[in-house]
Amino acid sequence: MTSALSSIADVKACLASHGYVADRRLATAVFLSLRMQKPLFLEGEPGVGKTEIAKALSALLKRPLIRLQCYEGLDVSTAVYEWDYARQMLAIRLIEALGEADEARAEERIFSRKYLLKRPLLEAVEPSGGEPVVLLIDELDRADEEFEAFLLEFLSEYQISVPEVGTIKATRAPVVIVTSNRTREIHDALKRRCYYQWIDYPPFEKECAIVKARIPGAREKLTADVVRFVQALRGEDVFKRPGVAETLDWMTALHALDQETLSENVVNDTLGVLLKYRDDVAQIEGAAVKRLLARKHG
Amino acid sequence: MAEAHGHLLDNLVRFAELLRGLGLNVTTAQLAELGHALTLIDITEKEDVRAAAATIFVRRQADISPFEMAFDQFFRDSSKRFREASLPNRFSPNRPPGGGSAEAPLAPTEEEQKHARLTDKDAGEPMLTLAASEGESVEGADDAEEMTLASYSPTASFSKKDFGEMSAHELDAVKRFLREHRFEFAGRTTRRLRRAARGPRLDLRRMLRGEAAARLGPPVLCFRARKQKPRPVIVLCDVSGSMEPYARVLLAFIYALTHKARRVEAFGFSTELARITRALREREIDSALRHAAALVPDFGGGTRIGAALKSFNFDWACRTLGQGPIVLIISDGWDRGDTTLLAREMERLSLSCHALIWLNPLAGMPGFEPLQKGLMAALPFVDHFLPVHNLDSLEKLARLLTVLDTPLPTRRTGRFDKAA
Repeated sequence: MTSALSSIADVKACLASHGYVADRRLATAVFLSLRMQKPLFLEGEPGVGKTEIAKALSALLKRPLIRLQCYEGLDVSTAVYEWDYARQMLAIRLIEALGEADEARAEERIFSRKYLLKRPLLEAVEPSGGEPVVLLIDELDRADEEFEAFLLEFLSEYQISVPEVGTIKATRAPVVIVTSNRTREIHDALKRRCYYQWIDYPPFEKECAIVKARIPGAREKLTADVVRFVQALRGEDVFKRPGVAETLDWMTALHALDQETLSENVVNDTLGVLLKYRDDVAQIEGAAVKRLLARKHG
Repeated sequence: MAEAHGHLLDNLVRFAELLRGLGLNVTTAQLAELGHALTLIDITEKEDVRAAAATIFVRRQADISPFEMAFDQFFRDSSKRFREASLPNRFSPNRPPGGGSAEAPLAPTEEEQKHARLTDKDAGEPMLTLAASEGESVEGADDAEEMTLASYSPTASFSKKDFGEMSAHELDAVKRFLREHRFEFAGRTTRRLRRAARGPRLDLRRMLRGEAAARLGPPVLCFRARKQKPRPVIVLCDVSGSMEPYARVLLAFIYALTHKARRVEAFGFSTELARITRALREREIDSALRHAAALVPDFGGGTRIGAALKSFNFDWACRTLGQGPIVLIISDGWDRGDTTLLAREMERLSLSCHALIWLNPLAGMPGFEPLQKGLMAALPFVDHFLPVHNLDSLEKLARLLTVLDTPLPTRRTGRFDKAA
């Protein structure tokens, strides 16, 4: 299935051709997770491209992407499977009306695969389209601890147990990407089943490459200026540092404003694209912007 | 695995031992996987081998730098055979003192140094020896103290006695009281559903199973309701010099909280902030308190509350302030730092927690008024301001913690005016 991706360099090149600039380390992790069919657990600050890698993989493997956005209270019936109660009730009435004698058989019929509604995890194990999928379990740290337990069986065996039906196992393993912003630590039991990769803010050259890959027509000079400014901004004493996603947003914004160079006024006016806290904006705008701009010229 | 080369396997096993020595949890299964992985990549590319090994062994961010260290050390010269004699010893956590080689030490020695410093301190300072006094002979103790020691159930006068005026024996009694006291925290309605006798939602799955089993007759209604969970608690405890008479007892109090509730995070600060949760989770109270105290830089030194809160807000808030926590700040408000900074960080903190409680040991004194600069800057953002100077006040706090379950509707908005 992944015969085209026979080496780490291949993975890196293929990801790049789909607009995702990965360093050797990340490419290795992706390569191994594909080859050894293990989930990949990605942790890192917001906006460093954890989610994007799942999208890139889906495009490059030509497999559908199933996304499970985690939130508190996420449970089996929204993440794994749900019984189709309405149809089950109708079936019960029907059985009653027809006077089915054998109770055991009646129950078997009501709790059969026919009445099972697939939710993302079951869909990943048994895709409706037939071909294996890329499953993205996004922002797992937003779900509560109880939900992590539901994932354990799935992540280690790619199978799901439904008490009434039995075990449903994937015939071909899905590619699984789990992401976390680290707002809390994820339990070891879950991490043990995955390969772990910490994604950091990229160095200057890599971030420039990302901007160029993502924003067609990005001008060389403006790209370098923008990236240098954002990187300097990350070194400032701000509450939330801007991620790569913010760099891209800012670049798009500057394009939309037809800016060819970074001027102090434009930076001050568009600071809200980079910084999302009032205190941070107040601290940076004006003098600090001037200083950061001066630093890059000097 | 079978195709893995003989001495390569040997080396892998040794590498794994090295990693274990550095605190990574390396399983045999992981080792086997690396063996497999190495057959898939070009083993002469050192960086690829590094990345592959990291992918398999590293499970959390904290493991990255020990891993890098171990890898560099282990494969420093791939052509040279690995010398087993020096390495594992140097990494072993219980390396004999003075036994390190001439090369740069790799194991974290800072911990040991801190520990050594603390042991020195232990001899001199009463604050630090308090915990250790348990088990020593009680020679010379008068009868009254013997009594409190024997039956420490707090009598009226005892529970009103200021911690700062207590003898070592009385403090021991307090410690034992804390150990056996039950602490309960206000709950928070989560979004998870559980079975319930009555509730807003039908449990269709349960109903259908019942119905399918006994089809005749009217359906039996089953319900589900939102689950309650105790709120997480975060304690930020001032252990600067001015808090000295209280620091021990308060740490013992936090120790008790940590052991009674599942989700307590504790931090200590004087001029800098340090997380002490792990140390306080230790079972044995005296060594837990000793280790916790050792973790805080400048224990018993000056206070910079604003800076400490800022470092909490920047480094820890996003990891600990989930799910509507109750935040306790324990400090007398004597602040040598910047009060504008303190106010700003208090505001930030107050906006992202469920309830912010300031506990002040001095507030129990008759005629106390919150006139300290730091306290005046912080109070506008506080939901409750309580004394913690005796057992009575701890009990009041415990009662308050159980009733903080609904949001506080009048929070903060009116408080800015009060500050002005």
